[in-house]
Amino acid sequence: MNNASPQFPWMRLQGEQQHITESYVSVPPALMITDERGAVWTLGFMTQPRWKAPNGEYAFDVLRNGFDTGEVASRIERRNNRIRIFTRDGWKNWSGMSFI
Amino acid sequence: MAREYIVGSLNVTVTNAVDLAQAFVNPGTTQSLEFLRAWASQAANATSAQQTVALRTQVTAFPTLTSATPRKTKLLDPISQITGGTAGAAGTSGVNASVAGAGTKSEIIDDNFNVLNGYLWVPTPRETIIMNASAASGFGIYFPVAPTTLTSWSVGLTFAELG
Repeated sequence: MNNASPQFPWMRLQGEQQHITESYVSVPPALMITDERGAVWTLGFMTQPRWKAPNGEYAFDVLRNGFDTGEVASRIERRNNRIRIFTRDGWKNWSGMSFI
Repeated sequence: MAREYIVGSLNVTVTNAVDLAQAFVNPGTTQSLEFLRAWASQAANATSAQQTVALRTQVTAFPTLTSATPRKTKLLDPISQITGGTAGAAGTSGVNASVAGAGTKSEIIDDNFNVLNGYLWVPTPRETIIMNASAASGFGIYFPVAPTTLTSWSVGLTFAELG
């Protein structure tokens, strides 16, 4: 049950980055978000137990360049040039090192 | 949760035709399938373009596919009851259809996305799509219209085996 998410090419940067995702794009319904540092954000495939998920939603591992950030969320958004995730504890923002 | 499997394509060139299933799973006779996720993305270029997408069921005649064996998401799980197949028949799965198949397609969800951002469908728990065993009908993610750029598409489905 603790396996890492399967890896797909779209979970990581594919070649030289030319596109930065617009603000207000959310995963889902977008598949991935690319930030201004070229990092690719997406949700992994590990469905998390209900007690880790926001009420009424499925939640998954949050991946940055295909690597698990250790966070669980139902949504990832890019807003005001920042990455934020919706977790059971509410919104968390990416500080550049971790979600706070 | 366990016994969740992935059927998907990786950076394939899709066929330039309408109503093609990009990933398709047809339940067998013994186990119902619960569909938990669908996605589509392209890595060919960084050109903004809108693309239509649909989640549908289809009865026979099924699409002609490239065989794709479901992959496990939990390594300790047994292999899926679904096997790879090219005909879309009961108990099989495939990707990247080359022929749409004449069987009636029933829309469940129609949507559009920008190819730069890709498409991810994740239902809330009560919105999952369940295909019962012996449904005589398969479920897939379709491109109702061929994309402008045909190359480097990755499209897939995640499903759980019930019972």
